[in-house]
Amino acid sequence: MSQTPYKRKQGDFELRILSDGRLVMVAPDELLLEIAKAFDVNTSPTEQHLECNDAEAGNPGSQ
Amino acid sequence: MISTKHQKREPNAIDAAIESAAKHLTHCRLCPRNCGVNRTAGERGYCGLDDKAHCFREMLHWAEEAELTPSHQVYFTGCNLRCEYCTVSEWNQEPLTVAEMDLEGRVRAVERRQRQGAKNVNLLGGEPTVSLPGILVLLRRIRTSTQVVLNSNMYYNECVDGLLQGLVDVCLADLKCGNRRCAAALLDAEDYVDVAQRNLRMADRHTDLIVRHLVLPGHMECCTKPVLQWLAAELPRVKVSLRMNYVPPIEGAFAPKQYLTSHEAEAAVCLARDMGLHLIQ
Repeated sequence: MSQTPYKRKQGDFELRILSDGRLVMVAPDELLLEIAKAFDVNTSPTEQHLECNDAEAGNPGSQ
Repeated sequence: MISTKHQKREPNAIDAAIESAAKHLTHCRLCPRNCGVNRTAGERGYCGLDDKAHCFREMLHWAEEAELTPSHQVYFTGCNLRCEYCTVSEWNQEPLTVAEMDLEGRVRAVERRQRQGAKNVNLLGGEPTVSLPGILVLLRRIRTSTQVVLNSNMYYNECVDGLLQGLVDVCLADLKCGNRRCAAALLDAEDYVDVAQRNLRMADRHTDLIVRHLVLPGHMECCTKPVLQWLAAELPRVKVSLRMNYVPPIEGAFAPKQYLTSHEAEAAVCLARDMGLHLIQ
């Protein structure tokens, strides 16, 4: 197994489960947002249980 | 409710802007990289793009600023920055792996998203202005039927602002860093702050400007504070949106490796309020 971190490729989804239980979806597309809705949690940017970070971070757009 | 301070451009003026933007691509100086490459002949500069626009995603998004939501986002590949914490970097590093924008398909998508409730069409990336000619062609088709939001990192040359005048209703603009050292390390653009500040002043004259600042963990004194101070001094009435959704990259030499804490988020909001800035959610 490679020791280097996996590098996200076009079309990949990236989900992170943090040690405090938060679920982070990185730059989710519409399908991933639908999945988030299925978790039945608030997906607003201020909701800390699930952070749906849009592409803007970085610009995307503007993160 | 978004007010409009701009005059909409006439169709023949849009054609002239498209022609002018296309000419820029033969010796590309759309952004401060000033690569000078002939994108129409297949040469590629820093952004890696050819002379076409390439869209990798479109979606109805519910987490933009409240006054813009729901927003029809249209994502373009290619960027003139290399933010270490970019969450869509895979689309910008190889922008030509995505097919050329299907204009008719995009126009139909705008109509479909409007029926689904979209308040606007929101052009983002990557950095949309590096695909300026393609964007202008799209705007020529949809301009009269929807509100147009340009979601930009604000790293472009002055000519871009002129070509977009009368075509953009809302400029959803980043101001990412507060100093040259952080801009060089995090964005690979030492001159970013100066360029973005100039462009914010220009955009404020002809668009409804919303300035976004992503609060970076550990960058309160060097970035968030000077960004807010500059806004308070230079654009005191502008709408300011503090974003708290930083995602640390898996790899990165300079980007913070931790998530933003609630304490840091609260401190940024308090700072902005103390300066009298017009914060929006």
